[in-house]
Amino acid sequence: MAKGDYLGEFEQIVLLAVLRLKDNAYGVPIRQEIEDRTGRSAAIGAVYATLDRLEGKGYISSHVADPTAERGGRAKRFFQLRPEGLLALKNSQQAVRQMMKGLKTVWSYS
Amino acid sequence: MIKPPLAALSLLYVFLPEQERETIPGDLIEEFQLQQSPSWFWRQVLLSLGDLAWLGMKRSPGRTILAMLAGYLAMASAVMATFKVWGLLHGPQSMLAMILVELIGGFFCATLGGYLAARISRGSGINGIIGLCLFSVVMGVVSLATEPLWNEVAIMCAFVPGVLLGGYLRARQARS
Repeated sequence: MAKGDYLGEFEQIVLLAVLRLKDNAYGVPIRQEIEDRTGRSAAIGAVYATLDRLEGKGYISSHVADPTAERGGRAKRFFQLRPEGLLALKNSQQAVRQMMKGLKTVWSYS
Repeated sequence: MIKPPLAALSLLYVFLPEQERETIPGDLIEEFQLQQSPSWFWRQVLLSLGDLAWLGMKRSPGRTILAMLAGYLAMASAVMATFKVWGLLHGPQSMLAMILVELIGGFFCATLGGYLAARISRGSGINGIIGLCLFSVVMGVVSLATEPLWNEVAIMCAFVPGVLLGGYLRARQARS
């Protein structure tokens, strides 16, 4: 895996949110999922900046749906995880697990 | 549908990149129906613009610094020229008159600086504008060593909204 292929912490969180939401992964539920599960407040601009970067890397794809009235006639942009994104996520999680190996005793004291 | 603050929505719309002009405002309007708090909406808009500015600064730091310095130089030159001309035309003035000149003249000079900074920056220019606002505040704090506090506060009250207006005008011009 090349150096640039590793995912940042927030990139992993956003990818996991997209993975969990399946067919309903667009800005509002992604942001809410991140807040509900991590307790971390994420501005919509930061979420989209990360989604755009992940799409640029080929880890996710997106499509724009029809405009809806409750959004003032504006369209939703749905995101899907691509196989490359899933692989990058697995590799990043694997890297963290490898780094954690043997730290169980230290971890339990902290 | 409950309408969100129009000024916040326009601000966001003007500075957003082309591909996000439908989605980000749409998401915020959808969430606003549940939150129903104008302050929440404003906070989200300002945070999103801050994120966009930070992203722009990281992508092209050299251009952001150039935009910031050029904007500040234009603004400072225009302010000095305004004071010079005002002094020549009207002679010594009372403190109130000086504050008014500083506020009104400073606002228009800052608009010029903001416009120039946004023009030099890439994209919507938000990185140059936010950079110029921060730089102006830093220079204002540095000037406290030689200038009275009221003077710096008056300048900041005029400069920051002026810079934002200049950036807004440039972004609108770039869109049309």
